[in-house]
Amino acid sequence: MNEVIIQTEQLSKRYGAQLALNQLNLSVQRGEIFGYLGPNGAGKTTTIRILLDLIRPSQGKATIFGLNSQADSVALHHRIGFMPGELNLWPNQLGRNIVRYMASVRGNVDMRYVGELVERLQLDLNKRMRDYSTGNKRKLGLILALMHKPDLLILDEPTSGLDPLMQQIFNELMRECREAGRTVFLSSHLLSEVQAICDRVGILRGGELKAVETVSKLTHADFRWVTIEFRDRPMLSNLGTIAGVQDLTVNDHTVKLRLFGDFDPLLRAVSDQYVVNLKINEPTLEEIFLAFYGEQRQLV
Amino acid sequence: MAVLIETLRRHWRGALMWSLGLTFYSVYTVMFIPDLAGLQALLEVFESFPTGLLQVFGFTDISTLATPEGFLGINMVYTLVLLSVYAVFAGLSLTANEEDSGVMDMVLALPLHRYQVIVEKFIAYTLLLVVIGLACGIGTIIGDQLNPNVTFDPINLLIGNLNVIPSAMLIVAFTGFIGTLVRRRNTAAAIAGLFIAFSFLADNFARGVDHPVAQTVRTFSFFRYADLGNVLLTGVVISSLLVLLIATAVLVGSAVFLFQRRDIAV
Repeated sequence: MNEVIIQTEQLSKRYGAQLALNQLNLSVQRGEIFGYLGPNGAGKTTTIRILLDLIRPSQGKATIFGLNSQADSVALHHRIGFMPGELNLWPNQLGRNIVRYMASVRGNVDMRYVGELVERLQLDLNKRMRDYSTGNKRKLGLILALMHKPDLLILDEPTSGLDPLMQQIFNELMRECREAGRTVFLSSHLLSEVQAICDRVGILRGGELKAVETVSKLTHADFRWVTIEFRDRPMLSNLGTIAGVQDLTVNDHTVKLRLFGDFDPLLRAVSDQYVVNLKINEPTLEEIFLAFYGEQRQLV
Repeated sequence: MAVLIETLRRHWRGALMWSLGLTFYSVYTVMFIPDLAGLQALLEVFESFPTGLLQVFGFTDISTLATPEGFLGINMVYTLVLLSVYAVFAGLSLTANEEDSGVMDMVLALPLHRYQVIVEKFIAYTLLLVVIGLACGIGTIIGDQLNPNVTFDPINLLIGNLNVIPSAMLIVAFTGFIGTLVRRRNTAAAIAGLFIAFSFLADNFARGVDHPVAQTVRTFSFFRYADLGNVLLTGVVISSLLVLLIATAVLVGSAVFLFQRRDIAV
């Protein structure tokens, strides 16, 4: 796990007056699944497009496998599998023709392995691109990214549009990559996706890398927003003293609170009252970040 | 070579359709060339039209209409006008189509140099244009066999039709260059269309006007160098051919230069 696969130094990208990426210093190790987490517009896709030499940095540089991402892009692309956030391909082409073309450009693609992937992902390659559903486009994108068994996978929002079963297969595929010593760099705005498979997570916001942590450390700061609707006006004398409960607000028959840790103390505390509804909301990335680093460090 | 082969694979059917269409057009054109008396009568009809109107439609030197070679030469101008539509579509396919539709990200994530995308596609379209040009040539030869009024040298017919190709290549290169410049398919198509219309009209008007400004403007029209109206009468003008080929090479080179250095549009 010591070999650095992706390294960026002071990487910045400016579009006119807008700074899309600001002095990114990032390091991804061999054999890890690195989650690149951030809200829409944070700079995730910009980073990925620079790594693939689709756009050029305004400042700084990126190296992959020790090679310059710009000067050595063709050599690097032999070793990289990429899936964009939105898979746009030739709408009139059959899936199998697209796979065949991509394989012919890459060379050395084991078509039996491609067949295995097609089977696992249950994709019909005899359809035209324009006839694929969003989920099937994601599957095709995955096949194209994985077909040459790349040393590095760069995936932009890979599971959006996949059904839960396929998401599970995707997770399995990513774990297999890790077990084979390959590296995965995936962007997401979904914490749950990242939690399920990633070893480390980088949190990006406003073009700046705010944190890089292991998933276990980050989720340690995890909490949920809990909304409890009671039939009667709730007796709340002890609710605020329960371990893990914060930010308690009461509005008529409804209580909203932030819960760190286990549910059990809270459930026991309200068990003697009639609960009409219980809603649990995952925290936003920003809330997780603030919880992890403390409220005093305001996000830009 | 993968891009070249794939481009041929995807577009051979389209090129075949164009070949068939233009072959029929060529057969039809040659098949119905009237005899010399008929051509003379046709010339007299054309002479009764206003000069300006004739210029708009490419009939600047209508005296050539009185010969079968001149008649066919003028129709070859229209072959090029029709082929220009194909050439614009081909030029858009170099980069603008894929960039505008977001496909380019996937293409350039493959182990390909950016220049390969432009150069290999350009070569593929040139090959398809040659096929279409040969088909036109064969069409004129068939028409010649079917028409008892005229007798052309088949080699001259082939050369005359292939003489259309450098101009079509220039349109592919020009549209491709504009596509890499503006990155948007519709904008590139509109500019290419204007360029073709400008070239056609500038050449036709300037040929009828003895004014230095008109002649200077004509310099920028590729129709001037195509010289299609006279090719069967006077043969291919090598210097004009070279101008077209050099301009094509410069445009393809410029497209590669631009494309290598800039960001790919989202």
